[in-house]
Formats: sequence, C-alpha cells, structure tokens
Amino acid sequence: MSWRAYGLALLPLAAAGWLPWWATALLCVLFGLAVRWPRWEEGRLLLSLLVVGGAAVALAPAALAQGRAALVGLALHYLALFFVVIALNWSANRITDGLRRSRGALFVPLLIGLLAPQPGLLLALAGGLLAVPGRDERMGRRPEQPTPRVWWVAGAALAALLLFSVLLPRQAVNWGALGGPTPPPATAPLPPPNQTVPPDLGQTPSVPNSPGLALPFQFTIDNVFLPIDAILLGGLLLLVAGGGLLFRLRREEGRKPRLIEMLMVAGLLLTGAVWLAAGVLLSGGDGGGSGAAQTMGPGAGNALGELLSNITGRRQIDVSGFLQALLWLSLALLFALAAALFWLNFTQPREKESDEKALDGLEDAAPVSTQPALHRVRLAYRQAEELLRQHGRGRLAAETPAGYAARLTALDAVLAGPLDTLTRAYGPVRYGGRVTDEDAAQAEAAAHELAVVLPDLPPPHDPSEDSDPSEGAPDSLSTKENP
Amino acid sequence: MTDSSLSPSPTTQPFARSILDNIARVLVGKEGVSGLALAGVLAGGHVLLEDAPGTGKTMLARALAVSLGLTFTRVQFTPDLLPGDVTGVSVYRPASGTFEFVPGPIFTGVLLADEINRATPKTQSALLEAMGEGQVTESGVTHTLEQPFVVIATQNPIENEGTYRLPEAQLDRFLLRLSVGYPTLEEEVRMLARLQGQHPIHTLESVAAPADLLAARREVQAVHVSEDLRRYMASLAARTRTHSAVALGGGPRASLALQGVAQALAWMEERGYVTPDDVQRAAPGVLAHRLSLRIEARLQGLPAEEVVREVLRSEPVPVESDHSQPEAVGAQ
Repeated sequence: MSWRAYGLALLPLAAAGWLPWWATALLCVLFGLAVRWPRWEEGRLLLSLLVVGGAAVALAPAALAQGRAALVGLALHYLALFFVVIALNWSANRITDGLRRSRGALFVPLLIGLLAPQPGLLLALAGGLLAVPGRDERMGRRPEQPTPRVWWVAGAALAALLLFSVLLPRQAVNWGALGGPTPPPATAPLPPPNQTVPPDLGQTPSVPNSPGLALPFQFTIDNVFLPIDAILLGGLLLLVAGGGLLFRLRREEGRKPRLIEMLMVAGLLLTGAVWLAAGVLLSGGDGGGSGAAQTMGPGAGNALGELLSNITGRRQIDVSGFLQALLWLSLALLFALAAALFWLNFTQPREKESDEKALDGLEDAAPVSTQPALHRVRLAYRQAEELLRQHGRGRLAAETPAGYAARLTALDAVLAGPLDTLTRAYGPVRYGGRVTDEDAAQAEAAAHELAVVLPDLPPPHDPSEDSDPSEGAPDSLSTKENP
Repeated sequence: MTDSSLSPSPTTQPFARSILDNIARVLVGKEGVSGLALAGVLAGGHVLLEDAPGTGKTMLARALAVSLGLTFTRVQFTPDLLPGDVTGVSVYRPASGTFEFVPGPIFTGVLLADEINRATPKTQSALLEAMGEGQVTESGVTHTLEQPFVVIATQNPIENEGTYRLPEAQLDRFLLRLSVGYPTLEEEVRMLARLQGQHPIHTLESVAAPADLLAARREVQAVHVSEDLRRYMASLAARTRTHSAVALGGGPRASLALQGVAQALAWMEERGYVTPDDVQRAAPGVLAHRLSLRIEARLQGLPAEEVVREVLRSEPVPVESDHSQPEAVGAQ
C-alpha cells in the first residue's frame, strides 16, 4: 500500500465548513481506515452517513431549545450534508478506482469547499491529488509531453480559485445558535455592538444579521408538501429492513455481526430516522397527519424562507419547486433503499455457509459488471490474490503473475484452470494490452471458481520444507509475501 | 493493437518461429538460447556467446546468419590480428597516386568474431565504433556499415593462457552474453543421429531477408512497455549497483538493453506488451556480463549470473497488490 493513498484521509476536510470539527475528524479517520482495509472501504458510505446523522442528532437539542425555525434550519442543513457526504464518497471512489479522469473527481470537494469556504479545503485537495493513482499506461501511447502552457494556466487558475475560496467573505449560519462549530475568526466578523441575537428563534430566522456577502437575490418558499404517511411508511420499511439485515447476519452467518457491520446498519437506521424527521419538519407537518398531503405551514415556511434569504441576499427567488423535487427525490431514495435491503434479505439466493465464507471477498463483484472490462479484470485478480493469500498461498513479492500461477498449479492441480484464465486475462490489462468484456467475464468467473474451490483445499504443502532448510533456500527477501 | 488475452497458449510469431525452426535443424535442444540470441538481434544488439569449446557457439552464429539471409563473415581472433585486419585498410595505388580504402571483413551482415578474447585489446577496441555506431573510421574517413549489422562473438571462459579479458566498455557494447551449455544425454543422442552424414549447416537455407529483419526491428520497438515495468527494470539495474558483491553494476545502457530484449521477447510471443516474465527472462543475459564483481566474490567463485538471480529474487514485481498499483484503468 503506497503512503500516497492515505492522502484520501484528508478529503473530508473539504466539508469542514459544513460539519462540527469532531464529525470532520471522524470522517477523516474513516476515510483513512477505508484506505487501509477493504472492508471499511465497503462500509465507508454508510459509516459516513452515520457520522453526519450523529452530527445532526448532536445539534438537535440546541436547535430544539431555540424553536421550530432552528429545527427546520437544521433539517435543511442535514439534507445538504447528506448529499455532501454522498458526493465526497463518490469522489473518493472515483479517485481510488483510478479511472483515467479520476483527477476530475476533485472538483466535487472543491465545490463543497467553495460553498462553505475554509482553509481545510487546501489540505483536502492536496490529499486528493496525492491519492490519485499514477497515469494509465495500458491504454496505449499518449503524447509524451502535454503542452506545458496549458498546465501552467490550469495551475494558476486553480491556485486563484483556492485563494478566492479562502479569502471569500462569507455570511455564516448562526452555528452558535445551532450548537455547531464557530466560524473562523478571520472570516467571520463579529456582529455590530448594537445587534444582538434575538431571544426567540421560533419567530425569527436562526441566522445572525452580521455583515457579509450581499447577493442581489433571496430565496422564498411557499407551498412545500409531502405525504406524511408515505414518509412514515418509507422510514418504517427502512427500519424493518435494517433490523432484518442484522437478524440475517446473526442467523445465517452463524456468528456475531462484526463491529463494522453493526455500524453500517446503524448508519442506515440513523439515516432513515433523520430523513424521516427532516421530511416531516420540511413538509411543515406536525407528524400526526391523516394521510392527506400536508402543506407547509406559513410559520415554518416563512422561517425557512427567511433563513435562506438572510443567508444569500435580497431578490426574491422561489425555491419551493426545487425543494419539493428534492423531497420527492429523497422519498424515492428512501423507498429504493428499503426495497434494496428487502431484496438482499429475502430474495437473494442462499448458498452454503462455506461457500458464502469463501465468497466473502467477492460479494461486491456484481456492481462492478457495469465498469470497464479492464477494471473488472484487475478487481477480479486482486480479489483472487487476496483470497489465495488468506488460504496460505500468497504471492511472493518478486514473483510474476505467470510464475505465481505456475507455482500454485504445481501444488494444487485443481487451481490450474481458473488461475490460467485469470492470469491470461490479467497480463494484458496490467501491462498494456486490451481486454474484452468476454475476457472480463471469464476472469470474474475464474476468481469466483477459486473462491469456491479454495476452502476445500488442504493447507499448502511446500516440498522444499521436507529438505534441509539451509539447502537451496532462497534469500530472505524472496520468501517475503507481498503485503 | 488488438489482443486476445485468452488465447490457448503463448504462440511464437511466425517470423521468429521459422528462424528458430531453421536453427534447430543444426543445433539440437537449444531453443532457449537460440530464442534469446534472436531476441538480441531483433533488439538491434550484438551477442557474446561464452562457453566451452564444442558446445555449438559458432554453429549457432552461422545458423542465425544464414537463416536471416544476412551476409556472413567469420574472423578468427588471434593475438597477432591487427585492427586493420578487421576494419579494413587504405592501400596506396601508385597508378592514381591516391589511397584507396579496402573494406575489411567487418563490412558484412553478421560478423562472427570467433574467440574474441584471443585478440589484443587494441584489436578488440577496433570493434567499439562499429558495434556502437555502425561505422568505421579509417584515416579520418568514416565508412558506414551496411544494415542490419550484427556482431556475434564467442569466447572460451576456461582458458586464460594467451587471452585478453574484454574491457568493460567492450563488454557493455554486447547486448547479451549467453551460454549455450552442454546438451542433455537425449539431445546429444539425437544430435549424433542428425549429424551422422553431411552437416546440415551446409544445406541450411535462409528463411528471411534482411529487409524482414529491419521491419521486425521496427515492430519490436513499438512493443508497449508500461511505466511500472520501466521502473522495475531501472530498479533491477540500480540494485546491481548497490549489491554487496558488485564493484561496478549495470549502467543506464543496461536498463536500455533490458527493455530492448524484453520487447523483442514479447514480440516473439506475438504480444504487443512486455510482461515481468519477459524482463526476468532477459535479465541474466543482459545484466550479468556488465557486472564487475568484487575480489572477494570472485575468490568465492560467485558467478555474476547468481548475483542477477539474487537481484531478481529481491526486487518486487509490479503486480496488483503493490499499490504502485494503480495506474489504473481507463475506459475501453
């Protein structure tokens, strides 16, 4: 594992302006763990949602004490955080999978950072750049030297943008009122002495009237509604499905769920719960709707509109449609997530326990079928190599793929077929040729076959162990398995 | 370049296959060394064959030259051989009152420098310019050699009496140093049967033309080498420089040579890209003769090939889990 990959742990700093400091730090740790262990990488999204959900819950008591408008502001803020975290995870995936334009994924943290500027953005971008893998050499020859001037101009533009992001005057949300982080003192001027925070935030916007960037427009919200019953149903389904997932893990795996699995389910449940609350708050309902469409009450709507308009300016812009669409989209996501979990729980074919154990590393193979064949082959090889290592058949650091396959085949003839297929598909991908979708499918099938066969094989027996260890023993480095 | 990665087995490129089959008619059971020698020629280099007398060094050189359809000249290097005997001399023509250059045996397609270490260093060095730059300078006039031009030299590592060890600079000019080796018992029996009558070298016919070799060289140069593998090759060369048994390791020319031979080996297997196996197969022949071992290692009888093998065992191969990895994958 290259140390550069750990630059990804800095990526969440782009969202430091959106989150309390402790949540940002947790996200950084999480992203770092995901670099080190594949299982954490699998759970990164749900665990990120757990962190931001936790942040929203932690801010809720302070908002509750300040009245309904503050709660609405927090709900809106959580919705934004939800998408921020998804975008950050997408960006991290894009960077680590090393697709050709993976550097382009850095625009996401850049955008997130520019929306809530703070100096951590620079570190986040630097970390992201550090984590971007080397260029793709297997796609054939490309111009050896890109036009230097273009890169200079792009670099200067990026630097200017970053400088702008740091120096940008900002009109901060009243984090103090919400119990969140205090804005950096350099960019958050104190309110004038004659201005105080209104005591009743239930009737007034939860934003201080401090000077800042005055944009020539402001947002207004009129009728935003969402069927409360549908929200409740979706949330309930999600909770049931999440609980079912835990039950299935315990019953069918025959073991206690791992910590990370429990955290992932917790992230799912918390997301469902917070979405539920946010949906109810933003749709203006009181949680006791009769099933008819609820219309946003004038109090909450005004408070939210005022909140937004105080953030961004003067001219009236009605964002009701946008918010309405956002809420419907969220509801659809909620149902989709619940449906996916139900499908996972009840309709997925169940295999033998031993097979499931062997296939543990390959559970995520299905989604990658939509990815380029080259990527699929590399992933299949990586997973197969990891499985072989777990079964005591690791590759020596100085061993070529062909040599590795030959050695294992000599030990276990049953591995010959899948290893041969996998190695033949992998060579062109790794070292410069081409591969077709058919090749990728065969490689995936070979990796799958290995996963099924390996658990039934006895531990490897190296004939050289029978002889005198000092005789013909390779030097110390040669026997070191690849990490 | 299209590549069916799941072909049944590595195939040999038809041009290379025909050459190797032709050589196999006169040299039994030596396909490995023949393949490496051909790879050296395809990579545009010169080959040094080092082994005991009677192992087929000269036969390999002759068969290779004939198969490639190149003109062939053999020069027996002896202590009294002068540089002009190899490169050519300017002869005074009284009739015209001018000097006329009479080309030496070096003006050929394949020059077999037999027992090269028997010639004096001065004569050995006469080959330097020809091998490095493909030209000969005599009396201030430069004469370009025909292309392709290949030097295949032989030397006997056993006899030290009356020999002059090749200088490092001269050794560095050889792309590969190969050892033919003794045949196995079965191979030797087959050889006896095959060579019972007339030696097949006399009836061997060319299966290619010089133009084919030049075209093949261009294709070899286009074989793809990934950035990771370049780094791997450079690391191998660098590791020879820091090895405890080595006084003088392989220089940048060694890395270049390694890349060239690896490309040729890949091309011979009809692959458009180099794999670590190509590099590992090429490394002993390319690197060993460029290493100058410390006196302690020489006294212990440590062969340079063993040092190279040790280097190969200690240098990690760029594969998936190294996470230099991810030069990742692009869209198709």
